[in-house]
Amino acid sequence: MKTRLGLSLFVILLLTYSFTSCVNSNLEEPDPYNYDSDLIAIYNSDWGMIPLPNNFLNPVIQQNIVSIPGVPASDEPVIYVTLPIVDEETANHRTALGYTSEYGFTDPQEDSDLTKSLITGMNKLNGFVPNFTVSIPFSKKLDLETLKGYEPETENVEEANFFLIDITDPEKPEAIGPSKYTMLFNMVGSELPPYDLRLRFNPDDGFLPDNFAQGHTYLIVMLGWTDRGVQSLPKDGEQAQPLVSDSPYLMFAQEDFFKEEGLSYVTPEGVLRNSLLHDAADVYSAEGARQITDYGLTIWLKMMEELMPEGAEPITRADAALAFHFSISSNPMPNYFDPLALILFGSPVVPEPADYYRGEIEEDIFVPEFTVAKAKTDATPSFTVELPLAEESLKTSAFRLLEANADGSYFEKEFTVAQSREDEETVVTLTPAAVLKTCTEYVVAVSNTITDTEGLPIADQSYFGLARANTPLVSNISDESKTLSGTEPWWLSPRLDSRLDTLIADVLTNPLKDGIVSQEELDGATKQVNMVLSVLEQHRLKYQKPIEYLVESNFVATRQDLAIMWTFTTDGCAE
Amino acid sequence: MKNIKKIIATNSLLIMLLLTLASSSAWASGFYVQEMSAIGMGQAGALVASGDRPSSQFANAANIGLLDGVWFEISGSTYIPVGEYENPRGDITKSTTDPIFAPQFFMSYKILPWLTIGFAEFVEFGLALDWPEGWEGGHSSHHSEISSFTLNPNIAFGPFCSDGKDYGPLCGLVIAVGFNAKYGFIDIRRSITTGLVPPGEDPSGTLRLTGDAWGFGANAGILYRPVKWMTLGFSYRSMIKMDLNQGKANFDVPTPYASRLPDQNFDSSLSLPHIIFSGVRFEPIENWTLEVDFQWVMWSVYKELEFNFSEGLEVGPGARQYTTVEEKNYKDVPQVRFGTQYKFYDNHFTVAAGILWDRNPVPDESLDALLPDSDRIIPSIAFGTEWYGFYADVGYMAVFFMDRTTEASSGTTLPGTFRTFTHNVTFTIGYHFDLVDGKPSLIK
Repeated sequence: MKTRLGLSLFVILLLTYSFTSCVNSNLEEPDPYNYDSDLIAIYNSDWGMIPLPNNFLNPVIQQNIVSIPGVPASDEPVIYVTLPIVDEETANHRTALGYTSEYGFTDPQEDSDLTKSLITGMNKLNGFVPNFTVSIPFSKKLDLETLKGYEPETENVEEANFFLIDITDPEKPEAIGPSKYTMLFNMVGSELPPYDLRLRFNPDDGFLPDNFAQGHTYLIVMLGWTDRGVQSLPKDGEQAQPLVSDSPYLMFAQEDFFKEEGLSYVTPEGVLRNSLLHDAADVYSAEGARQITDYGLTIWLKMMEELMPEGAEPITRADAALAFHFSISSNPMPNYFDPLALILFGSPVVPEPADYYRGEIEEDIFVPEFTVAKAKTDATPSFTVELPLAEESLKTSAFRLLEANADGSYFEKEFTVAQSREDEETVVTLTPAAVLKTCTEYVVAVSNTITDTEGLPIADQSYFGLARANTPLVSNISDESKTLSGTEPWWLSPRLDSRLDTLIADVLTNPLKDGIVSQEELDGATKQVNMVLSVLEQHRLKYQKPIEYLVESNFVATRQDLAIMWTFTTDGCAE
Repeated sequence: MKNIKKIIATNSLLIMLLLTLASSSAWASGFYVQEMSAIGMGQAGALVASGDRPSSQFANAANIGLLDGVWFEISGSTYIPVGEYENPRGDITKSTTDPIFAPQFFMSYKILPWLTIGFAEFVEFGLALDWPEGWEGGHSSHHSEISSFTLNPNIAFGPFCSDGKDYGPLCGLVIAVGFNAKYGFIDIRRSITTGLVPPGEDPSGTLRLTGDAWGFGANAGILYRPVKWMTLGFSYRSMIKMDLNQGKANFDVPTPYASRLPDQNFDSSLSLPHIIFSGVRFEPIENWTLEVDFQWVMWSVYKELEFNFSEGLEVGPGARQYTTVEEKNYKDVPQVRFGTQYKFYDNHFTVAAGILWDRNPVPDESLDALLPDSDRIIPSIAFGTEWYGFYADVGYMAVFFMDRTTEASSGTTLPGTFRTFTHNVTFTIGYHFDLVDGKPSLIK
């Protein structure tokens, strides 16, 4: 019996060994791959860092592209973007997650009031403002020598690693060559990430950069991973590194798993199919972002197939280290401000007649100069937009003509309104019902209840959005001394209020071709932007009181519902 | 979806393990295996009141009280699973599982007429299930292997009549207690949907979880034979908490994810259920027995699964998450077994047959490819022969899994229909002899 027991124990031990011997996994150190060690195009919304502008933030476009089973479509078509605003709760949440300046990135602080005001105004659009500056954040500095834009005229498709394509018609994408645009890298000379690569079109008129076309969609694709891709600028003793992708981008760039239905992270039955994400909202976001990214990548890949010469090494989806696209607003926009006029000594306020400020910066002191319109008492104030407006939306209730009384109150004047087409522009004219008073200030205000013939609301032109803000544009100007700020780039916006960044880029893109900004050029641009902002700030201050009246009298719900507003003063004042 | 406000960032990556790890606990009735011997399996495991063969001590340790002399028994069960998944669009994926072998060993020794000891080594829980790599449910599982074995010494007291009589109002009582040391081992592999893979890298991102654990528990049983033709049995196996320490989580993922998903250790624990057995066995004519058993498997102890990681998973710069918890909410489920056995030709041959109805404990929302469990109806047959104390048996069991169809609305991660069928062939060899005055007395 002892023998049998011994045999039995042996069997047991053998079984035990056979089980335990399978447990032989070894832990391995992961390869270093992070923002400190690699050149990564940053795609991290928790930091507020993604390439901008970007249709990830545009539900109007998403509605046309994204389709996720289980997520019902909106009953009413979306007509506005909903750019996120960082409030106190969001900022605290990000801080709790560990996103602090110790990591080298911007603190996730709450958006400034100015940023919130600007974003609220931008949310009245169906896309990004036409002069939005493209900004792509990177974790390390780029070697611009390695960045080769695709130029359709020279057919350098085999060497190109940067593609800017107008994909408004996805069946007929049109590549835009580097001769049409300027790129600036690390414009502000930062020594900490993120380092931004910015892009604007070259000026058409010889001074200011050309805007993106309204209603158009643009795609940007950058190649990385190999020597063909964009490379980092090596420090001493280091080798250049190829651009690589952030992991969220890789999630978004995944191709369809369910080919027929165009889905990957959600099954056709609406079930989550993902092991990286747990919460349904996260998976829906990932799938939506994936479909948007796939939309652009698919167009690009098809274009590459047609462009690549026979026998050339094929381009694949995986070669792209970054791809995103953005759509420019197609809302009709009244023309309000012309910064070029400041240099040419004209009126920067476009509607007529209009009071306006000008000014000079003398030894860092802005000296404003106010000019009244000296309008006739039978003046018919007017403004222009490019496209025809819906006749039925041109109701007098969408306008206000206010007469400013000496005691600070306003009197609403009666008028009629009409539109006409002149020189490929629509001129909207208000005709007062009675003769205006002499030497009196009048306010013209237009709400966003006016639409174009497609029903799309009218919205503010970019500069009016600044003049309409409820917080100072030039925060360091003292009311007493009118002194501008010191050397800090105080105008640099932390996140989405890129209208300010855009102003700088607008100025810088003109003389630059190499993408490198010197301190001297930056200072010069800053001075010019200070001028523009200082002038706008004077208008902003002047508009505060009538805007408060227009909101309190329920002409508009919020100040951001004003599409345009200006003042004019009639002639007849004693000199 | 009006807006993709939240672009997925690093913090989302860690949450993967909520799903990835949580489902790795695939212990369930579907893999609560009880095929301890061929003849026992032939009776559908209805053995709580059998008083026959040492392998019946799994169902009720008091059974060994009715065994004379010394018994040894070794069995091997081979499971051949055939399964497929049909998604709601009608696409079918077949599982690729190889046959699985599970060994068992039992012995008993009657030291005194009223005192018997026994020892059992058995596989009580286990599964192995493979799906093709890259398949639709790969994020749920493409390989799962869960094994266990239990070392279970028992001691039985009774029957207490000095004349060797083992039935009657006073003589037919046997009680037993035992100790359980259970060893478990897991090897789970799961696809990780990381997205696009950088050029030159392996597209099959995988998480492999391995680990082992010991758990301890107790069992007790009563056998009562008031009359010669009827035996009542009742037994209980306690919950066993398996503490898995220093398990290994190995991530085979593309480089951009590697630093965020480092290989690391993890700790976890799993409570295996209390099991209550009861049954009654009749012997209407000599050598022909019938038994009906009822089991209550108390899976409701398995409410959630918690994992604690040694390195944590990056949720942001300088921020890591170390613990994940997943709701499981399994249900208590019954089993009903009916078995019959007939011995003939001077007890040299035995035939057995039975049928088992087995409910599954997995709610729809917890169902996935790792454990596509369903209710089962399981008929079985067996044949055995015995000469001079040596016996050899062979049994076959056909496990008919009811089609398990889940709808997307249930919350499952893999809606569709799972169809499973398993062949089970079990062989047993054993030997027993009596002891007369301390010396073996061979059985004719």
